[in-house]
Amino acid sequence: MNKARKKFIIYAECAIFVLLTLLLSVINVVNFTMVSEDADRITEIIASKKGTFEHDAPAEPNTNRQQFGKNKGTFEFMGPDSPELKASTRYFTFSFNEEGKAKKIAFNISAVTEEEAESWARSLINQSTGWTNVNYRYRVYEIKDKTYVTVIDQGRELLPSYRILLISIVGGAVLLGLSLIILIFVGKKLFKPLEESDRKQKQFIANAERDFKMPLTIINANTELLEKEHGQSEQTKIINKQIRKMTALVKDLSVLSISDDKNIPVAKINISDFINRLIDHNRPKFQDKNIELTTNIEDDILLGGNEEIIRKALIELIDNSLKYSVSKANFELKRSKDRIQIRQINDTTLPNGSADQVFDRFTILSNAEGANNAGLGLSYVKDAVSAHNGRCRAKVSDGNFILQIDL
Amino acid sequence: MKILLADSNRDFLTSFKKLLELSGHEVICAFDGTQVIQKLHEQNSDIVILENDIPRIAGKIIISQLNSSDIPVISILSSKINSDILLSDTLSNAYISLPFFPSELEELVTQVTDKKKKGQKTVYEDIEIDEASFRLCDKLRVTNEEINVIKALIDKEDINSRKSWPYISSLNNKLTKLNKKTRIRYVMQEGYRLVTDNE
Repeated sequence: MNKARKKFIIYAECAIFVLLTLLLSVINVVNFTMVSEDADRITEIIASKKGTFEHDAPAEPNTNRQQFGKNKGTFEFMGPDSPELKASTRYFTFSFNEEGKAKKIAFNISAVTEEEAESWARSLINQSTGWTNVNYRYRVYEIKDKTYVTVIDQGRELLPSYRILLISIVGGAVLLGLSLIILIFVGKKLFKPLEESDRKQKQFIANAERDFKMPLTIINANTELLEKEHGQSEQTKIINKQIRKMTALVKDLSVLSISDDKNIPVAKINISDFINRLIDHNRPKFQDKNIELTTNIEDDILLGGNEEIIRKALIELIDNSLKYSVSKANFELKRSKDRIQIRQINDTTLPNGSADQVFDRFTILSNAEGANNAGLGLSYVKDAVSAHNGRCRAKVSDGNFILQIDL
Repeated sequence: MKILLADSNRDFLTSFKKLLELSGHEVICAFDGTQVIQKLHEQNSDIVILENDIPRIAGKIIISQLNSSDIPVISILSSKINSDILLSDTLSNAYISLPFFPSELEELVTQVTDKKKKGQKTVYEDIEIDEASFRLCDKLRVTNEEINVIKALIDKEDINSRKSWPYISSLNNKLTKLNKKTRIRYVMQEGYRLVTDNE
């Protein structure tokens, strides 16, 4: 249950991270796009005035106040169409003829010298429009066989955008941190009933080991006593048969109880040896059922794990193959990058698709044989693999049931 | 044979007392650890069948006392036998796990008492089993099933590896503790065998 809670927190935090990143990215991208569009409007206006405001008539007195009153302070008024544009725009424009000779059209900027500005404009001749040197927006246009380059300083206009970006990053990080704290707190509350239910289930299973087994033993004993005193009857035969069934089921219950206690004893296991042994031991059973058994086991693969749990899991795997193979079964063990991979492949009549539900408790796939089978074997395999930080997957593909374990 | 049957479940005691008496044994019952000790003092028993988690006095203490008195004991477990039990310092002569058939218990009683009575000693390479004392090389205690496994391996019989695995594992542990060169190994195409490393 701890693992489930951690998974919940990780997934929820990732979802928040993705949504937050998306939202803040959209805000910042839209913001920068609007600043770029405003800058393009200004360079477009300058281009329409042949690269300079110097031929414009001065603005009427109090235009500012009148415009404000007229437009009631709209964004349009505050933007590139403002009558203050001429005064507030820091820019330069150079023209270049076909021989490449430069002519200064306008120079209203302090950050660079005229020579630097000319060289800068020359470097942009073959472009069209864009940002240059971080804060400067430029436009290149043609007027009567001459190429004009206008560069405007948008540093002050960009400053709020940079602030928004910084606030987005810092604010986003703070929000993520806060959300993590909240998730940890909420996770505890949310999972408490589930953890309690899980604990009760484990307790039930542990108690069932005693609480079911002893009555079964006593019923057994008394049935035998009845038979000894009154002879065997149809009823005692039925009781015995049902007791045997229940005994098998109760024994299966014990496979539900792999502890998720991190203190399971571990040792270095030669898993190649383990699997070879088990397959060899079960080979006659496969032959009896006319199942062609093939193996591809890499030698000397060592695994750090709990011997008893691994052994039981491998037995369940082989049992599963023995029960459900039609005519062919294959076992593979190999190293794959930094993991150990075990594959069990057998032919099947099941339809193609994912078969991960085989790892669910009490699940037997519909057209599989398996009388008197509680459907717990592969759930044990999954629990055993999880206890060793591994992963199980199953699928059906082209008439083959493929079970893969990565450890 | 006089059997002391100890379990906290009275129905279990009633049922198995009757069954064992029908097989010709004399059965004394005890419901808890205190009664077990009391009955042991009052009369000699040939064998004790003891619930492992009997209340009042820990099963281990009773088993330890029985070991000292050389009275064989069969412990009833509610779970499967495992290496923790087989490698503990206090060891019963045999273990049987719930649920079981009455015939299984009777068979076990017969096996344990026969071994004790006959007191056979078996030697193989550097290992020795003394069935009278249920000891391996006169030092470590072994159970009835462990003795059966070793004897089967000495006779090169096939053993049911699934059922015998915990005993194979515990025997190898004990042989290692005793610094013996003989071990139980799996030989491909042959199965489990006793292998002595003479290098």
